[in-house]
Amino acid sequence: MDALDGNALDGNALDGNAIGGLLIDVFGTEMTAAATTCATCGASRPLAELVVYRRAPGTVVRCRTCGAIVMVFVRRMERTSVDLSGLTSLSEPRALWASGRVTICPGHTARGSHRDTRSWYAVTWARSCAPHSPTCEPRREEPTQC
Amino acid sequence: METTAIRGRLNWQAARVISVSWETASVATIELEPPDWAGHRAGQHVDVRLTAEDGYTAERSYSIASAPGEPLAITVERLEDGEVSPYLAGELRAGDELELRGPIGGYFVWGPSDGGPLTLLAGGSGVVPLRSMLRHRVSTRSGAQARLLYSARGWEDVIYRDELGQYGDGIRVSYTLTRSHPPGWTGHTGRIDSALLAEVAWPAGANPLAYICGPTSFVEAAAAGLVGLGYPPERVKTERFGATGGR
Amino acid sequence: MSLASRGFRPQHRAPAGEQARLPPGQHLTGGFPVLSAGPTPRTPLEEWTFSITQAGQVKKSWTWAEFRALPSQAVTADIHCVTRWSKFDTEWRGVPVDRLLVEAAGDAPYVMAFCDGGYTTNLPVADVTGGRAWIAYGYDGGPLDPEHGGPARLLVPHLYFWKSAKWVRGLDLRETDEPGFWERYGYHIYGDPWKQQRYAGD
Repeated sequence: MDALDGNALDGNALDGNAIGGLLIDVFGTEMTAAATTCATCGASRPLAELVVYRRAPGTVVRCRTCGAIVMVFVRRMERTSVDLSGLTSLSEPRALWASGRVTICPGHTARGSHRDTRSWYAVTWARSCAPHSPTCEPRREEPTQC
Repeated sequence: METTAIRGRLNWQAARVISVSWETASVATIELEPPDWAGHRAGQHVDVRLTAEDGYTAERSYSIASAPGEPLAITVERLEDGEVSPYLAGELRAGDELELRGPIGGYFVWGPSDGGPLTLLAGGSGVVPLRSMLRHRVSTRSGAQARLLYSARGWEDVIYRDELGQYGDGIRVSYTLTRSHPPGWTGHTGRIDSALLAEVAWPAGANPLAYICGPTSFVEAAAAGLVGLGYPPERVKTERFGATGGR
Repeated sequence: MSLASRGFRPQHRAPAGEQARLPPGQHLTGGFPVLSAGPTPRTPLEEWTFSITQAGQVKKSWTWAEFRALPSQAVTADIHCVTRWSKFDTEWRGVPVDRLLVEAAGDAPYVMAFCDGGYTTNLPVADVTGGRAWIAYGYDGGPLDPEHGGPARLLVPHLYFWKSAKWVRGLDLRETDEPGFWERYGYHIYGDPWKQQRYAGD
């Protein structure tokens, strides 16, 4: 079926359903049915169908078609940082936040709205960003729409 | 505007354990009463968190076994080398408190408006969310026809055995036992494969909706089998439990 | 902090008298948890090589047969994962990295370990020499399991175990200490468990 099927017999591999709670922490809403598009091979599928590796220093999410990393989540105490630069598109039209929706479009850098609640806080990297700087701060932005 | 109502539903809360009852020698159903619960959809799960006295915590996810409208219940398989499951299915008692949050899940869910017919494939404890869907189908008197194929190691490992035998018209339940079967067993044996699916699952021409849940290797084989029968991939929904059946 | 769950007592305290062996914030595990960020690679041994590289050049490379012909050592070590589990007295067999660097005649202050599957991690050369690191192909008396990094992994027990890169295929000599895979995502550039250097800035 897909490139990872043989390797996905690796019992460590779960799917996007397993990070439903984490996604609510980061995005503030249900995201497992969100539409994703892989930046490496262009495959589109619901987030729940991505391949998830949780038993690691962070949560790594890979494309089921080509195996490329599409998302990485690292939790440090009350903060979860998220790298979405492996996606060209992440869209959940039913999600509406105070500051807009998360949309990543081809040619745009990955951005996300953030909310500085006590329980979660997200920082996104764009593919064009310099290697991780520990002083990255979130930016409050107007929603971007394509 | 802040969606505080949604956030409240998804914060951690201490649910009272109402009862612990045993489905099999190693599988328990735990009925829970969270103080702040707005209901759930069939197929969703809760995250559970245990905290030791020194602050050490362990979290796992468990599918909701009850149908929407019924009291919250989860079904837990005690795993030999598990960290959380031996506590939930072994130590936990009525009157205890259990920290949980939920319901979680927006993809692997079914409601009457999703229609049917339904092909439900369960590997081991993967039957739990599918049982929620079947109970929901029954209580809503949805017309959706359903076929459940349940793969278990042996007859003694089949969860909800009596209940699954009592569904009436419109729900057909088949079993395949992979490691042992009782004398005189006339059901299927061995792991699911294309031949078994061709015999038991809805044919693709019926435009069925499929839900597959269980260990990762089971889900991979079952999903490939249904796609091989002609099911469009977008009509096959999957939920993987990893190698050991828990998440 | 969440409420304590009545009767939940994970078996993770160090035996009496051995508490000092546990770095801060760690607990003992009975098993050997498998942590990975991707599928287990399956490189056939006839295709496997280990290389020391620098500035785009291969300074020295070994096939599996050549690698296994090198003198090896038995190693017993405590290991500490940044996800807070530790394991005492793990037993390995491997080739000291000292030996490999000497044969490659390379000289640089830092290395980047590179692996099947794309994983990388960075270390100072000082931390993989002086008898502190091995390329390990044996665990617990047998061949190293693929899910634990076999055919061979880097073994650097004095640092958090994410530095002990699984499925290692070589070390790239570097002039600067650039962050590898987890380091880029916010984990500590060095990773000393005794100083609890889990995240950047710790």
